[in-house]
Amino acid sequence: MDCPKCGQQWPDLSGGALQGGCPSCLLEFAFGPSAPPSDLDDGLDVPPARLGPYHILGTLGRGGMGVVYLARHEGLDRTVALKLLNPAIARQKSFPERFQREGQVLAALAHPNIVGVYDLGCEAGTYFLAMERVVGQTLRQIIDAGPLPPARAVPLFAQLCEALQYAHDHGVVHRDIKPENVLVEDSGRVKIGDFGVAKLIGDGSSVQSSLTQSGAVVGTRCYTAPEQLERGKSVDHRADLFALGVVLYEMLTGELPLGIFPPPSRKAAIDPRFDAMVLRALAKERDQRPASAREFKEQVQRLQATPARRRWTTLLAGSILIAILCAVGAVVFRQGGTDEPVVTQRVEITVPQVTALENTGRRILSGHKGKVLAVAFDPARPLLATSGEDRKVRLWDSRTGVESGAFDAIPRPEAGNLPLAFAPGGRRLATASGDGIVRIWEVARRKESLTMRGHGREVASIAFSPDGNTLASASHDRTVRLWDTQTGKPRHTLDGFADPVLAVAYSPDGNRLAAGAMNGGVKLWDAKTNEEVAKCGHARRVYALAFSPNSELLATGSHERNIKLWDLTMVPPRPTLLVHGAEVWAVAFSPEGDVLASGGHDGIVRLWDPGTGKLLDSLTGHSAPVVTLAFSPDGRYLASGSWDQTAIVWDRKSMPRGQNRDLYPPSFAVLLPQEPLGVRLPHRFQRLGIPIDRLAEAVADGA
Amino acid sequence: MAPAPGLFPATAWTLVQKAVSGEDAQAHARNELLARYWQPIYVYLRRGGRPAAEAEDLTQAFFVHLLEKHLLERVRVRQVRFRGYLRSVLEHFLANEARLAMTRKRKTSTLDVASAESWLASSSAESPEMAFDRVWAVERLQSAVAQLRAELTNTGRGWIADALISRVGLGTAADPTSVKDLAARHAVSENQLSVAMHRARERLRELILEEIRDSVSSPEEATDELNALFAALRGQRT
Repeated sequence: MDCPKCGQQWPDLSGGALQGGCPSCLLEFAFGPSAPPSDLDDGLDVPPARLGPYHILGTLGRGGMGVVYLARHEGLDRTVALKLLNPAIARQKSFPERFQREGQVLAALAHPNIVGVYDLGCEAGTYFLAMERVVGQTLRQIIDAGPLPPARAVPLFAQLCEALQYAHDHGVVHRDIKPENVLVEDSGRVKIGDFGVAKLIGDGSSVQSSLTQSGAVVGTRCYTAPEQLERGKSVDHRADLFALGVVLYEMLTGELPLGIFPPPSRKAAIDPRFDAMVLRALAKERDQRPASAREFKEQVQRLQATPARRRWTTLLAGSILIAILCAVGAVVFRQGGTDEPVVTQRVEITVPQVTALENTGRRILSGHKGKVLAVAFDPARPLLATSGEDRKVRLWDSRTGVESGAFDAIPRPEAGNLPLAFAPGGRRLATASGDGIVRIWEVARRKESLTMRGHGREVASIAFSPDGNTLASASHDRTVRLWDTQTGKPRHTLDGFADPVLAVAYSPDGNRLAAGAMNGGVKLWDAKTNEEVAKCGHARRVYALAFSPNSELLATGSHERNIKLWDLTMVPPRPTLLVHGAEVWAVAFSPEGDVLASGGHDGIVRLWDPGTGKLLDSLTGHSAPVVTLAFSPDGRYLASGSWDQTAIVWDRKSMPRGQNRDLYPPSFAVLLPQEPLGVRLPHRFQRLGIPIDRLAEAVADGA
Repeated sequence: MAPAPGLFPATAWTLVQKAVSGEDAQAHARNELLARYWQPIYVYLRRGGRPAAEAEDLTQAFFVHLLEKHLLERVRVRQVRFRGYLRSVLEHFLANEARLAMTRKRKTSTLDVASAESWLASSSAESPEMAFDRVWAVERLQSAVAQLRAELTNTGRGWIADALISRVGLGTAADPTSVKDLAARHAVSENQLSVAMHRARERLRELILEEIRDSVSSPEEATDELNALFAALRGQRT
């Protein structure tokens, strides 16, 4: 067919990804000149249908920081307000680190007057915060309906102070207190929203002003303490006290203290003793402001509690009696107005309840280009390391899913596996690679500290002894080598395998070392004497080994599509068979020993009760084989890594048991039975019609 | 979100590296290599005047030749552009008639060549080399678009890919669909649509560059290769 635009002839490409589009015109379009839409930075564009486990139901609002959506967490069946941060913010330097650091602080804030953060993290490159959604009004809407009498303003103000005091006690400064961020429920309870988000998204100066529309800058700036606008000046809790002063002024008078402004009692019929209090909070020098939110609250409450009579005597002594009386009249009139039913627009906003940090059932970590090959938890910190086909080791905060760093694990690109193991105390991470070299890294400095050479071929698996002194490495060169982890010197070589060794593991008590091989054989040694003590195994390759925490059970996963659970207290060890249903690539015991996880070629993670052999759950979230598994040291999280280029951190606490299957229907598992074992064929190859074994035959014929 | 399997093929040299390594990855990579690159080779052969059945046999024989002679291992140092290398090895392969006679005897299996054949229906004047480059370019572009579509689909925005195609203007409509019509069709505001399209376009550009980058040895070559891609798609000789 001919392209009507450029006149070129093309075959019918409607079956391909272009859907009949002209390739030449598409390339011109992609690289040709174009101006970005004018308000590109105004939040995110079209709402995505979903983000991770969240189903997006509608838009609640948008601002400089991003868009807030109404969303439902499918697993927990909970409606939340989901704030997707503007990509421009996320592109800032050091944003991931800041997001992680600040996010943890925010999520830990639990106060009845603070909007709680349920969840935050990064899904498919989009940073988000999930907060509870409630129905109420903003303080802005209330003030817009008219100034508040002190009897109404003071209780709201007191709650604001309490929330801020709580936050300040926890070292968190809001930095952006304004009536738009203060939510009032129908019951009168105040909730402060967007806590600490100002800091989360950066120090403001550059980003904030560039992202905010001009009008919004003016509006926000009124609440900004002078020191916040000064470059390089530190900001502490007194910035919030300044904003509190502005909010109090506005509540009482209905106006902002702009320019040279009159004291509040000149604008409204209130006790003039409020004047000093408000003006003090608005002091340019922060030393002159109230010392704390609590002190500010107590002063205001005390004043409100004192008898009105004294107010009048004070007032009568003043020379502005008439003016005041006029003002009182005006306010009485206005108050009459507010007593009538007022129609205010109701908005749905994020407001907390009692906030415990709750996590979503799972968190997807995507960043590796190519298959994820190994996952390992730091035993000492909430840190997850992953390795991938891109030859990188990536480090993630296991609770938020935020990537905290990455380094190249191998100087040269090399094919092959890239196993990982943390040393028992943390801090040191071992890797091994297709070049047969085993390396130990200082995690904090991302620096290679020991290099161990000796294997002739690819290293498939590594394990630290529980005392951390020995590292075992299993290689395709048919040996298991033991290395001194202080010096990097070889200690011993275990051989006698007829086939490449694919897996190695130490028992937690340090007495046994196990290794599994390509031919399915599993050997057990006494780790002290290096003497072989038992043999067991499968008929096909064993890629997965794990000891139970009490060292009494050994789980071996095989491409036989099953797991054998060996009772090591029996001589010879006696197996219980667990049928995974697909080639097993990985097994892991929870630290409590109550769960055994297996990961298979079907992309499914199965959870088993090792005591009874019963299947507890099947976790479906991966779309390609799951080749590595690890439990966090506290047993709460299970990490799985897959050829689908992602790792998933499953939160066992908030994971709805037995429902995951329906939540994340496997798109991949159904394809598997037709495939040759251990190999995934691309769809296009299947169409091409050369079975892989035929190709191999052809090669063999020719050779 | 995890991409659908098979939609994120590793790029040329990464695949080559795996294809010459050991074990499981090797077979997978070899298949992938064949799946990704057989079409340009087949069309080259057909444009060179060989009948369909022979071209099919030769395509397969060529891949067998590549593997059994360890030709990919020789170039693992990445000193050359993959496209150029493959084409020169192919020319060399065809020059050796004795080998051709031998390979022709060896029957492997049947290629599904219908899609490749459709290339031959258009612009019959082009040389085998041009055809090779042209098919190559379209395949790379298809791969980038497929990945873009997968990414969008994974976040529930697959329609943006459709809109992008409609906007570029082909398929059934003679003129590009207007932003207004597209926005109405997908029930979004015009600005939302333009922002979405802008982002998708940026991403597409990155993906095309990624496709190219891994098949060359330096950034300068990547620029050259991109220009070659343009030229091939415009029907010009590189």
